[in-house]
Amino acid sequence: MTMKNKEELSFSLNANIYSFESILGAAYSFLDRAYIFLDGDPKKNIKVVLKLKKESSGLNPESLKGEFLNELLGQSLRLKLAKDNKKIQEYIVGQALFGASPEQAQSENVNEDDELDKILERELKALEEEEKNAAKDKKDPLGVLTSWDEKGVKKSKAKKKK
Amino acid sequence: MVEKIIFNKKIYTKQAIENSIEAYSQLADFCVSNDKNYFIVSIDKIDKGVKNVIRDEFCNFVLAELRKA
Repeated sequence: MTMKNKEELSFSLNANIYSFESILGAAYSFLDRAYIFLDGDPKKNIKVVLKLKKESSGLNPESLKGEFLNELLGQSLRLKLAKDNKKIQEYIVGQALFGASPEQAQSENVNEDDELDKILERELKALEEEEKNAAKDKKDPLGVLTSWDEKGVKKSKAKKKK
Repeated sequence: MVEKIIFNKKIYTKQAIENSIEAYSQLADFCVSNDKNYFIVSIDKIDKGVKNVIRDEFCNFVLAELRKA
């Protein structure tokens, strides 16, 4: 670690321990407190130059470096968790999107409508059959079910008998 | 006086530098040249109000742009 002046220090980070993404993430979260410049090889060693901003001049560069390293660990862990849970995250998001897609909702509605139609048809058929059976079973005491022709034939036969 | 900032090509992208130059174009004149391993940004005719901070702020801006990409 080198210290150019009271407000600036630089240090190197081993890229085999800290990934470039996590260094970039940590640097990004410090942009409001310090000026940060990166150099070096992202596959070997990355040099970080931290320079305190005027607004945060009350801070000690050493403590800022410590905070940066802590943030770096946090970023590394976050990245590791994201990698480990990538498949399950994709699965959950995929399921959520699939469930929320309008096509899926439409097809679900169509299925529901079809089922309702089938139930209605079944019920109507059952009612018709019930009515038919009832008509067969019941006698026709008022002669409502006999047609005018049948009634006319019966009457003429009765007159002839008389 | 011309300020020069040297950005490592392995870390900084040309796109991030160009986006930053576009954002800062009102404050100074920028010129980018290519080295084998570095992008060299020359800053000239810097606005007086930002003369002391433009270099560092520009570096931070490029870093932020890098994260966006």
